[in-house]
Amino acid sequence: MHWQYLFRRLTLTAVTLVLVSAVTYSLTGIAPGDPAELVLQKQLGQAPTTEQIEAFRAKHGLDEPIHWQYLHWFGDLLQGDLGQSYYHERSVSELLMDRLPGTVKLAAGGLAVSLAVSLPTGILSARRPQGLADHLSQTIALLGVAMPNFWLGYLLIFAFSLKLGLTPVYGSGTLAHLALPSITLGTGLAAVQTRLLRATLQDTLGAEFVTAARTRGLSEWVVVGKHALRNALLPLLTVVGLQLGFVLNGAVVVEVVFQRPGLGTLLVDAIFDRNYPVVQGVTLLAGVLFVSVNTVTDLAYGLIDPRINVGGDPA
Amino acid sequence: MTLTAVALLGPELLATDPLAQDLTSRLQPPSPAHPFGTDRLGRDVFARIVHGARFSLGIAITVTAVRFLLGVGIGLVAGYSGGWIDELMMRFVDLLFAFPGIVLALVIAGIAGPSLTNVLLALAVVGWGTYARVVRSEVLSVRERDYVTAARLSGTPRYRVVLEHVLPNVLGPTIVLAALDVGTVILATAGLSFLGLGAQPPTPEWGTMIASGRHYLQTAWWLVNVPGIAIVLTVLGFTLLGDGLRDALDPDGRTNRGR
Repeated sequence: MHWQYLFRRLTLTAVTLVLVSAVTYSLTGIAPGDPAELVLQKQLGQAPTTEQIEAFRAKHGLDEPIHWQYLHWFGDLLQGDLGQSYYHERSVSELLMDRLPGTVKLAAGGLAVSLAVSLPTGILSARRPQGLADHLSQTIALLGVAMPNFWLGYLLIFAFSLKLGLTPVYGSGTLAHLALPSITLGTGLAAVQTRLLRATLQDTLGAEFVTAARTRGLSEWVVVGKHALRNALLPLLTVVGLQLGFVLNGAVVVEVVFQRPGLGTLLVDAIFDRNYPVVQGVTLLAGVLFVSVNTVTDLAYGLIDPRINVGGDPA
Repeated sequence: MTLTAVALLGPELLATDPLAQDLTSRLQPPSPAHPFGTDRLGRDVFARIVHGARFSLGIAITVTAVRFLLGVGIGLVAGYSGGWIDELMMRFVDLLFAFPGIVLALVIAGIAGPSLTNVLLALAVVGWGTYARVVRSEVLSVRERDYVTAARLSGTPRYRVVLEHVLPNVLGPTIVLAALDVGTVILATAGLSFLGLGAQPPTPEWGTMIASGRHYLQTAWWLVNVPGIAIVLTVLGFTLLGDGLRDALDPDGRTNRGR
């Protein structure tokens, strides 16, 4: 890979990240009403005095014009300081670190479930297009896309927790707690992966090198597993990368359904509490994760597939 | 089609008021009098689903229309002007794509205050980028074609070249995108309402209905599942419509299928 390309890609990423931070910050600038008054009202249970409001605004730097607020926030950000939560005297970075593991576990669980479903069904349906497995997997893929994940979550709770008593309903901690949320999150991911895998595998199974492998008398397992699958893995990797960037989209709802502590529940609570520093923190983290995942996927693509010459230099 | 008919005519034909409470028949299971049962305030779930169709479809189609107009407009201008205008607009689109969409819509709607209007605006703002990208790349491939050059050289005003010669030739993929998008927007609206940001009770919106029915999961299964099935069927309908349109409008897709 070309260093020049790498440099350009990383510069672009850095610029995007700065803009992401600006968007994140200005989002809270459009908020109607004074957060100081609303938050104090909630904390005190009564209308705050003018002095209390002034003190709150001074403490959180809200007494400056918005562009100075942003510059201060950005300056602190570069030193790893995301500000203070409006509640409970905790720093935003502390809260994020508290909640991040919950969401990472959920994402890992969801990804594991989705691959466990999409790899076998994708392969089976590509082997025999229009066969039973193919129709079944296409139905599942379609339903997986059309089903709201919060409803799926309640269906699973109803069946496995309430009727069969196999899994705990809410909370987190053990592997059993993770099972249903992972399935809920993984179904949507699996639907997209299966569709893609089926399409790319069907293409490669018709390719010359696969026919060549077949005529050499290699077993069907070797042909599919070694020759065809390897070529279908690259697009799958890209899609999985993109899905990981998007994972917070689904995690928000899944965490609320299963009442799991994570970034999603943190964000939703912060929005309803008008806890803007926390909203900014989670949004920024989501943006940074997303942009980084995209950059890494792009770069990995160039490394793995020698046919892609990202430097634009004729090899 | 059936769904649209339900959304348009249903509320007129149906005598039952979706907000009418009847505390003597609370949490009734499905029966001839209440085909989908009643909720915790004795409201008829069937009537609420039918009225909810109007909200879900109305919002989804409005959001998609706004995304479509905004995206197609900006894509046309960016693609046809080129230069710094193009660069500026496309970098802005990139920025929109730098956040997971639902999270961004969640934050915008949440900060603006919970209401269906704000959800509608948030979803529209977040989602027009795809249209702009698709239209721009289509415009780039069309603008140097002979018939466009001919129109330009014969002195046709710029806006007429764009509207009469470029636009009709780039719409195909965008229409397919829009049909698929309606389903996505229905899911997103229901999701945001479920989180408490969209329609507020007692509005019969499907996502809100699931949110308030979840406390009765064990005793009244129909409260969560009937709106759930309604959402799935509607989204499925639009997905299949989109797939069908793709086959009809996208010749490349058709050749692929023949293999």
